[in-house]
Amino acid sequence: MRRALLQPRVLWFSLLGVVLIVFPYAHGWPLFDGSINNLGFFTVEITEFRTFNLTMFGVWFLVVMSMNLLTGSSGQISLGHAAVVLVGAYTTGILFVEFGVPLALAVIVAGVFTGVVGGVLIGLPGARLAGPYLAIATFSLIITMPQILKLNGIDSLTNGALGIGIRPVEAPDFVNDVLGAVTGGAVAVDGRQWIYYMTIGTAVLMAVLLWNLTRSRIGRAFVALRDSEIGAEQMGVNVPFYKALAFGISSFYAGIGGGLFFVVQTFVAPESLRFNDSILFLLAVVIGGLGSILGSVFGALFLAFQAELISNLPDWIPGLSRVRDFERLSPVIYGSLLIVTILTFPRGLAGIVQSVRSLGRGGRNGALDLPLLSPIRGALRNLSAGLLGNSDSDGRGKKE
Amino acid sequence: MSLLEVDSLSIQFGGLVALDGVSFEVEAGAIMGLIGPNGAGKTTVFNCMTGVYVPTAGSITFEEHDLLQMQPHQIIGTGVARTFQNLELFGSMSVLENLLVGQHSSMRANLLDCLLRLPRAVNEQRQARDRAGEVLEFLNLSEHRDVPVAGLPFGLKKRVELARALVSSPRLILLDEPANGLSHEEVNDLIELIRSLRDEFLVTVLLVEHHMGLVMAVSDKVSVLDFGRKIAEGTPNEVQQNPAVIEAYLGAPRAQPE
Ligand SMILES: Nc1ncnc2c1ncn2[C@@H]1O[C@H](COP(=O)(O)OP(=O)(O)OP(=O)(O)O)[C@@H](O)[C@H]1O
Ligand SMILES: [Mg+2]
Repeated sequence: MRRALLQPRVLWFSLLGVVLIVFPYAHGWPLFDGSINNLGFFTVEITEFRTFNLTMFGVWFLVVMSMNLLTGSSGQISLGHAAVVLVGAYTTGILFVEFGVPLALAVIVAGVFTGVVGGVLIGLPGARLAGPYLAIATFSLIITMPQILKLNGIDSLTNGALGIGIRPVEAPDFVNDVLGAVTGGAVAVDGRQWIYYMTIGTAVLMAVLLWNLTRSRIGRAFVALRDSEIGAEQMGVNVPFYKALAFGISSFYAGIGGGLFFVVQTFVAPESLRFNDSILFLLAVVIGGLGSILGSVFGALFLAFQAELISNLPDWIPGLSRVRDFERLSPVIYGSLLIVTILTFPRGLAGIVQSVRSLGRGGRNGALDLPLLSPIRGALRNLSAGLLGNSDSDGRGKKE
Repeated sequence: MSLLEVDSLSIQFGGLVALDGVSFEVEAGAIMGLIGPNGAGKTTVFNCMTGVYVPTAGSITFEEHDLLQMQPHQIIGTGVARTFQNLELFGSMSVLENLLVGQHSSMRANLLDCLLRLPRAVNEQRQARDRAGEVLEFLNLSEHRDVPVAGLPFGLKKRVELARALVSSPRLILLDEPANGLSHEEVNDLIELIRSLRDEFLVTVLLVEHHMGLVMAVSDKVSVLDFGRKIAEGTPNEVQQNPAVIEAYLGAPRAQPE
């Protein structure tokens, strides 16, 4: 029974694994060289650049998982997550450039460091703050971060406004030696492909760990304190501790993501990630799906491809090409996207997938209102009712 | 010595004296009723016992534990579990998951165990599921095991809360208006249930309730609060005939919850 349930899943994951492994070579293959033009409405070009694209997807996946654990699971809203990612990126850069720590080790140490800093310096004091106040505190964090990085004294490490740069990573020689020997020189890994594998590998590994965590007593404690703080406390959950722990684990993920961000981009500066990015991370979590790993996958896809999608919009919507500088409207587009998501599918894209799947199984539709979103939903409904002048009296926005 | 000793408990909220020197004891194996008009301070007694409120004076001793010296999350570990007048369930979780959180304090897996699914985490989780399964069976909740709690009707939610409190194997259970919102038949079932809590699960029960039929049927002893003071205590019969109690309930008519 259990085995039978497992089979298709194993098959799908294996297939996904194979695709991820061969992907950096696909652009050289006959079918894929140049481009597959025009999938009806959208042009997908499989070029070498796509490997970089997917590498960035891996980075964003780590960051969105981090955000999703914090906000989706434990219900703490941070507007300063970009600052936490920056800490990871800078720590990696400083360890590598100033102290000669090997890059891979530097990323790991940066993750741990960021986790401790996030848990102890932000999470512990933040655990005493109710939602809006935590949001404000973390907001001030991202606003002041560039100044902090440029402070006298610190700037000798961070290189001030100039930031830290490194040469692109090359694949280690032994890897190519082994590959060459095994395949008779047919396959080699270049730097771009190597960093792709490292990033995707790390992201997949950390997704598995997170998956385990969400199904454990600790992961359940996070969701419990989100759903009812007093209920969780009275069931034995040390609420401030677990809030800080969620912040710490989340910061660890963000730190690893930030470290890889630096390695992939080969550069970090005080304004590499800003308040806008914090908002994008939140948006990615909500659009992808709160509190689920599949949701984080969708959220990371959104982050990796949103710029491209936006710049493609004029191809699909004829009138748009006549709007000058329409890219500057992207905040409007994101804002609308957010409102539509919260109102129509509060569990994000992952929620849609889950509903479709449970329909297929004839199960009940788990269309649940998440506690985190219901106040926002209620407010939005009232607002839209006010604007449109229709009284939405079915009470869907209300609490039970 | 009694299982629970509450001595001269007092607490104020601003100028409001919510509890004023309340003392009572609960014997091991007893079912004790705690009644009083709305706003008398019954829920506040529970909140003081479990660390939600810090009383201004008095002491609360459960077995050898001084409950006032403990953090709120440590209370359940001593063997005191509670339900809530206004539900405090984990709405997005299934019934089973709610009962797993109910066993949080007796589980030991640390972060590494959880991240890597080490044997300790896997084993204790299996035990916790089994334990939850037993309690769900006992409370006739098995068919709702995997349903998100938020979608359940009110009566079932109340039962899930009871299950979540029970699953931690408490020695004292605090029930805050368990009959609220139940139909006549359901109240009769509840009477049986509360008795079996004591007789089969060997749990001592402290019961806050407005449903007099229920309180008088199950309680060995009843304490009556009014405006934060204990005005009477005795067997159900004694209390019902006590003039001060009749005065408190009839003298100043206050709305009773449905
Ligand atoms: N956190 C609080 N802040 C201010 N006042 C409070 C607080 N908690 C309780 N009170 C007040 O203390 C008094 C006792 O409240 P409590 O909830 O204990 O009453 P109760 O006996 O449980 O009533 P009910 O039968 O209506 O549940 C009430 O006047 C209430 O308004
Ligand atoms: Mg009450």
